[in-house]
Amino acid sequence: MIRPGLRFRRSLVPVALASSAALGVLLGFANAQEDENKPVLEYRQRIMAGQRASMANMGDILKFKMPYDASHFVVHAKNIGEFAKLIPDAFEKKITEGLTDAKPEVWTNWDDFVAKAQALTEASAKLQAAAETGDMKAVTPLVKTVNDACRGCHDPYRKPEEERFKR
Amino acid sequence: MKVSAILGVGLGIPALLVSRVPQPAEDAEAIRRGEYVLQASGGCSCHGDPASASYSLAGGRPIKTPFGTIYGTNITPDKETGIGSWTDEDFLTAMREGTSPEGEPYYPVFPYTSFTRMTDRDLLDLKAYLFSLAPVKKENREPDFSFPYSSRSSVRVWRGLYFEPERFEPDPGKSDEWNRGAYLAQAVAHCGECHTPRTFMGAVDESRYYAGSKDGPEGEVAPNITPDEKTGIGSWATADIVWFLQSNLLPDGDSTQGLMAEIIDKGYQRLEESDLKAIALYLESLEPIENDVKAK
Repeated sequence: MIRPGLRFRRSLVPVALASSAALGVLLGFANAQEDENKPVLEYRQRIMAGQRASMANMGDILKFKMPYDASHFVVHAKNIGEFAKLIPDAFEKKITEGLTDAKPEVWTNWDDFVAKAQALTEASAKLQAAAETGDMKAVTPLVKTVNDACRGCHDPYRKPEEERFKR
Repeated sequence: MKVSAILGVGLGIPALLVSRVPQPAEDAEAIRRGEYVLQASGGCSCHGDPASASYSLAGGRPIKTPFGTIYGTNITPDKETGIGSWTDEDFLTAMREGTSPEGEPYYPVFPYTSFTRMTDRDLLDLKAYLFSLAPVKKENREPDFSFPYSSRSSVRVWRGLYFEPERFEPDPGKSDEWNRGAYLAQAVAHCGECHTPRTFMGAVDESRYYAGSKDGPEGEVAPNITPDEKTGIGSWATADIVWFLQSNLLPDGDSTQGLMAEIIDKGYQRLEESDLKAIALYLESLEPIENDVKAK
């Protein structure tokens, strides 16, 4: 004799199998998405890391940890500006999940985001021009201007510290 | 070459974008000093008016706390809605004892718990500066606190437990520079209000002074600024601290965001390099405390 409860559970077997299959497909899809997004996110993050490295190096020069060499300063300023040119392409793909600190507003306010990347390129060009004169006093306020351009984009489009994936 | 020779040269920082009222010449010096005190306090950013493009100090800014939301008050010299009718004594009492001219206790979101250590001279100079601003008529908004925090009686109880008005006492065993840094950090810049963890009653945990807080104002993480190598700023050089307070730039080239960025922009970056160095010297002298506030 089959107990009613057992019969009920048996009736759920096809549903359970179908659900498992669907979940498997979804998980597989999510994993595939994650795999596909990983190099894109890493590419973006390496662009930012490159800019950050130049900003740190300029900071160390201004703090007299390193000697002032105008030719180096020019390279750092140029580096930040050149990387800024890559930002629109690098962020073209909308990725809001996973190991990213980009806010969804990047894509809802795309034109503004691109304009802010352009502003960074322009601020960096001015810093580069000042560095080429060899006048260390002239570069200090312009480093701040470049940083303001970075922050002009970070404030609206980067997650705050407490929400970042890497803490 | 001195760092100031480079860093102090025209950072391109505009003066505070506030309307000013012409003052008698004899007050000009006090006003100038008072503006500096305001900058050393971080620009009184909490009193900013979010609806004002000119950064008026007419209040209204919502400040989220674990107990609810409070709104910055109007500290322009408007006689009806601001502090324009306050006497010197009223101002000193508010800043030192956290009590309004009507005798009401202020919520300790207003950091009188730090300002209580300030000198008469700095406080009255600050008042002179605030009274030189154009008055703005704007009513204050009551905090959105739930019971029991909505009752001012709860503040009286809290103060009875956790607050005692005091003055900054210089340490004769330390240098003038260290004492200047200690005064600025403990009293005027009120670093400990955000960077020290708080107890469940909202009191500063004095056993972990400056060790960082996961529940800073606006829900932000306030980093550990003790010289702990792993979790604090122990790996920072003096020049790193000075440059950070001048530029918002961290040693790794990233910049800070949120409230700290705002108070650097509106205040700390305009301070004399000697004062920023003094703050750095004081922070470097603190006991290192391991406290990873960044860990989730």
